[in-house]
Amino acid sequence: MWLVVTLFVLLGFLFSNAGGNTYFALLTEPRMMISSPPVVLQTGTVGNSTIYTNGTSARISAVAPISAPTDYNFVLKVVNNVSDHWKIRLKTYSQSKIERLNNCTIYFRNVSDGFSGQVYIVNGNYTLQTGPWYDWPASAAEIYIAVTLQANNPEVSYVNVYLEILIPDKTTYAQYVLTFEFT
Amino acid sequence: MRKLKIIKNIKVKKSSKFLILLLASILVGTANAAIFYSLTMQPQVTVSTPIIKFSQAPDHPGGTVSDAWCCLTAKSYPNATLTYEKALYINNTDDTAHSFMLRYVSITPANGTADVANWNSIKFLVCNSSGYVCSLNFTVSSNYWMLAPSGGQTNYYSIPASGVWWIRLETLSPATATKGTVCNIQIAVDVQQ
Repeated sequence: MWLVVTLFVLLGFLFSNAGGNTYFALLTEPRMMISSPPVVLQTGTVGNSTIYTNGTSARISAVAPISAPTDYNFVLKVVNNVSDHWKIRLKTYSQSKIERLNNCTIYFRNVSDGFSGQVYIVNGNYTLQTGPWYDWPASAAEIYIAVTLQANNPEVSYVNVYLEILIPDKTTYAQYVLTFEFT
Repeated sequence: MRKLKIIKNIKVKKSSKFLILLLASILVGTANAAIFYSLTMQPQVTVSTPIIKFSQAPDHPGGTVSDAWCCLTAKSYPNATLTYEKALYINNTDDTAHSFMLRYVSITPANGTADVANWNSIKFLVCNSSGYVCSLNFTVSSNYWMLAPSGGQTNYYSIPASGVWWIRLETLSPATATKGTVCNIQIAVDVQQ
């Protein structure tokens, strides 16, 4: 009896050892360097904008009138510091009290080719939350962000968006945080 | 006088017995040592391409990519998230599925040093055409790296035959980050063959 048990135990060890696996390891060594952003934000000439350290995030304040829509055609400037061309767009990620906004249009424009609507709020609801990719013209070193506003009461609304900057023909992109405060 | 002789004889006999015993022991030991036989193993080791290998992806940030090793030179911007959607491909070149996992090996700057605070997060996400699969994330609390999963490795995931998955790399640094600071990470991709 004991002999049989012993044999089973020994065979058990034998089979468990025989059931091994083959492994190999690939090695990846990423190296991250903190770099100057190629695109930076600068203040506009209307509304009230605050640019944070390094020019990669901003807070934009503007008054939303109750009577009639007002167009702030230059609340923020986006400046290209390198020779690369980009695609850019706005993408909302959070908000508060937008129900008071009868009309809120956030758009890009440059000196020569006008308008690219990026975020629309109509009667308190989004009709566009992520804008289309806008080809930054090679001739323009700067793009302007502009806003058209109208509200139905004197509260404060916030629209938080990412300014996404994409390398053309790739899926590498940077996200800058922009906070719009509509009083 | 006669008694003394008898005693002497007895001692000689005991010595003889001991000597015989000793010789017998050596003989047995020697005989045991001699019972060997030899099997011959002739392994043939061929240099091959690994069945799961790295390859350069569309968002390759820079650096060298070879089959079993790669160095990626990526950037991190202060106060902005930078995403390399397809930073590195992981190819299964075999006609059967294989399992692999990501395993943390090392990171510099070391825990507790002031330079760690130049990062908010560095994330390595494994994705495929269906979306997210798993990730190995480094986030910073004070001057310390916090690794997720905390064990420093993901589970094993099976990449199908001829499957191509990729690593999405996300970096984020605080507004106060010092330009030129470098972070080096080593991550192993363990493959079950």
